[in-house]
Amino acid sequence: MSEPRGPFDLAPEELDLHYVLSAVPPLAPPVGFRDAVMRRVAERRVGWELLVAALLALPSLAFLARQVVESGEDFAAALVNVLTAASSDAASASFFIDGLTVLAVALVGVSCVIGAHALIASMPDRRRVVR
Amino acid sequence: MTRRDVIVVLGTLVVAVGLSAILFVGAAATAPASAPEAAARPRVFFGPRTSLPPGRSIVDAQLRVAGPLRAIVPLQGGVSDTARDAAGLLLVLLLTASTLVLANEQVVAVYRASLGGWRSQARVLAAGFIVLGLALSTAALAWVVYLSFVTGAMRDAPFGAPAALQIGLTAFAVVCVFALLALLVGFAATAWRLGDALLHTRALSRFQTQIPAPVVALGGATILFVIWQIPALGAVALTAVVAYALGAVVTARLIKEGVST
Repeated sequence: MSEPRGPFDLAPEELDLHYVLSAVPPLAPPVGFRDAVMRRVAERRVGWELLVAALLALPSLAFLARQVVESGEDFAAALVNVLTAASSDAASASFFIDGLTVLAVALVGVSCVIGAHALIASMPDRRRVVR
Repeated sequence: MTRRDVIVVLGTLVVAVGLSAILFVGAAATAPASAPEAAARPRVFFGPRTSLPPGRSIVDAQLRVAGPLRAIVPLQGGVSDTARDAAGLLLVLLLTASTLVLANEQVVAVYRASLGGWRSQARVLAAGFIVLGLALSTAALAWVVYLSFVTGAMRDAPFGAPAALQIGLTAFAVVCVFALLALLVGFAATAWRLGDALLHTRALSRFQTQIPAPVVALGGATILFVIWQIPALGAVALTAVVAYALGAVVTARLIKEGVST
């Protein structure tokens, strides 16, 4: 009776464990087992991304809502002036916008991008979004 | 959630609290005035007037804010001025990030097409310049033909030249939108390649595996935007980036279609 032989790349102290494990008879996993494992491996928890998006968006949205309520006429007047200037022959015009409004709008955009990434990454068939 | 996710969420929470304080102070400091106070500067203004009404001073703004938040008022002014100046950078970053998310497969394909040594890079750049020249000459010739048609064959048309010109401009704008979409995909891939190239340098190579791809791309986009602000070099860099982005898109398209010489 020949001595069981392990793979040649095993160290001597690893051979015993190899003999034990190789003595276990092969057993076919139940149907669907592999898919279930792969689903767990590939599943991405995106809750934290949605949380980050909400944290960034909510203060900005509240600020913008207050801006619209308090200074909505400024925005309307500026829009009317833009349309008027487009059809007039005025040579020059000046433009000003509150920087915090720019920041709030940009943060809403950033949070929308993060939210879109989370939604796309959580789709069952779309797991190739680059991280 | 993993430990890293928790750290990111807590960091965002801290940033959100700080931003909320700044936005609150900004809203309170620029709120409409009661009768005896000086009027606040309008939040947004566009018009022929060249001088704007002066904004409230920091001291006036501090009087409108309660207690400990008064210390934030100067910081809020600085953040507001910086954000207004950085609107272009914010737009570039937002467009790059949204392209990376919403057109991920296309960006990855273009990124892969632009991999390689200096010969590949030169080929991509050359393809971009060729496509750019082709697009410009085609657009110019199309306008020549169209204007000749409008002023010649349509001289006695019932709706007249202005309507025909508006139709032509609208059609041209639609074509430009499609070209800009392709350019966006190419720009996102170009920024990613630039960030990648920087991370391959000896000084930054240890961060190579730690920084996620979107952050690398956003870093590259920021560098490109900063280079565009340099007076003489900016225009050259912008042309080169546009050419490289278009070349990468075309190269990816050719590889996908399996075109070979």
